Amino acid sequence: MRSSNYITMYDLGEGFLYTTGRVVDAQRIGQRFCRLKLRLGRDLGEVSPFQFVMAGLPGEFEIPLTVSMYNREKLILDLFFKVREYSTEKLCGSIKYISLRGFYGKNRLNLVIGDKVLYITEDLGFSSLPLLISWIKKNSKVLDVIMVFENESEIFEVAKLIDMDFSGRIVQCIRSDLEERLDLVTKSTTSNTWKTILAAGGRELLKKACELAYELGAEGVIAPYTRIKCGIGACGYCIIPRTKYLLCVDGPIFKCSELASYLGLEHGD
Amino acid sequence: MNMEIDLSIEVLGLRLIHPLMNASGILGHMPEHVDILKSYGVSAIVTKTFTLKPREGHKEPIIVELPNGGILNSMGLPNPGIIGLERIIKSAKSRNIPVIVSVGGSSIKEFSEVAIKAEEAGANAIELNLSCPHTKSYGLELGQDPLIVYEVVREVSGSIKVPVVAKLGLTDRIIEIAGKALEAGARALTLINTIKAMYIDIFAAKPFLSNIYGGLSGPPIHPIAVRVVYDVYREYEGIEIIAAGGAIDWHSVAEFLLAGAKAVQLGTALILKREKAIPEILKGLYVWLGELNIKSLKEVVGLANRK
Ligand SMILES: Cc1cc2nc3c(=O)[nH]c(=O)nc-3n(C[C@H](O)[C@H](O)[C@H](O)COP(=O)(O)O)c2cc1C
Ligand code: FES
Repeated sequence: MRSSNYITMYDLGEGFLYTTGRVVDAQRIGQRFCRLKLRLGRDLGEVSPFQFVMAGLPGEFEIPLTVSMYNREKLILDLFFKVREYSTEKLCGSIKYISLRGFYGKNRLNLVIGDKVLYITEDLGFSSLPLLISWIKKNSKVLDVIMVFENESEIFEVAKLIDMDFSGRIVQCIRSDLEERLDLVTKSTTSNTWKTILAAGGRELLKKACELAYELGAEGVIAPYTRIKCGIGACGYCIIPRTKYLLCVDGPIFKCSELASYLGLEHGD
Repeated sequence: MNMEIDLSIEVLGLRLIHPLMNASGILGHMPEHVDILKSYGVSAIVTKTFTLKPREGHKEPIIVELPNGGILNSMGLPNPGIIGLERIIKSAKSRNIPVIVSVGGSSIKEFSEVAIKAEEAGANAIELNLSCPHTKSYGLELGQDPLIVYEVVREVSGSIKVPVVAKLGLTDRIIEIAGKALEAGARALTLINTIKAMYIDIFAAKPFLSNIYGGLSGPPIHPIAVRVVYDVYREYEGIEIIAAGGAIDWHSVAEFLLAGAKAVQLGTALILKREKAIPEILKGLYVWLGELNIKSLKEVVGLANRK
């Protein structure tokens, strides 16, 4: 078991882990986002894009945050999130230790991902970009990204979040322009080469992404959001409505066909 | 050995194909949960504890997995209230799975109102949660007083026709309380609930749970639960006991049966092992009974208690 020098921790059985992270750096990015670097007390295992941790202050609050990057050798965990209420303000403030449980979402991103990928994401899904890009590079794939912002004032310089040295393009747009963007994308000369349409966000965005995938004959893979209370498959609050899937254990990603009844898709895929 | 072994059991007037059900609080408050529990292989579904009005429960952090294999939770009985009862019961019925509704209350009146609603909605039995150790004015706060237990069970048993189970927690007076519940009309006892405990984050130097205290479940409480089942069965021989507390594999389930349980609820095991838990346990029980040359699971109930 790897451990950093200030603490050794323990294994908690079947893959459920708890540790404390010491804040190494907390940086505001743009007006609304925060990047947090933590040195962990112990290794939380291998992580794959879209997996999340339950992060918080003991006794006060705990929220799910998608893992942005994890260096297993150095035990450095990066979290990137939108600052929106007390808990995220506090996490991006001047605290020293954060409690962490994870990694959650056991269904890892794997071979369902084709060689050329289009990733459409709303703000909550921005966090997964660094890890996704490193995964894409490692697996010699190509990634185009559409980042959908709530409004113009939220747009930030993306190089502050990710290593831009990868094969693909990034387009930033605001929500009201998304239709237009998607239209352009679908009609672009490269559109038929995407093998996978990947999306993270609310139901509407996921539905659009799945319809696009269907139209282009690509595989649709989506990362939905639900409320997370326990993170370990006990409470049932993260159920994806009208399906038999719990996001915290069956997620974090699904094929469009698996969530067809939730999204109200006419076709299965 | 090629012997037909019967794992079925009759409890609460229900003939169950095997003795394993989920423990209350492992899913069980939304219709979608029924398919998941069915995929885990339970022989009956026990719902989350329902109260009259919806409850949000405690704020997070509400659960933590401990290094000793236990889980500490302080959910605070979140549930949709009686309005959510019909949908989950209907969903279980349409899949032919018996459903035991766990009922909570902070007063005798609330217990009986929820139980009546549950019966009307089609519940096969009612389990009274008299033992949750971490929610103010509910559970163990009432369930450690033999007289309150008596009153609640008598009132509910008198208001409905389906069998009533009293779910009791660890207290020094468990034998007396069990006796009161039976005297008041409980058809069976579920023993035990989680045990009040806490976890401290050593860097924050603070209790981890927002509620400070939680209920400990899983393997660390199993020997305690076995002791309680054994003692209560010994005192009131022949009664129906449903055991809960750290049953994680066939061995720990077998101990419960020998101590006097007719059925066993799985909580932490279903969290940790999901759909693998029940098939593994059933396979183990089958082999174990074969080894003992016993043809029916019923024959081992309470066997460790023989004088
Ligand atoms: C997350 C969680 C939620 C629970 N919620 C309830 C509940 O609503 N009502 C109840 O009577 N018991 C509840 N329990 C207690 C279980 O039903 C069971 O009695 C206890 O966990 C011991 O069994 P185990 O060791 O197999 O988990 C809960 C337990 C856990 C772990
Ligand atoms: S958050 Fe997924 S089951 Fe509790």
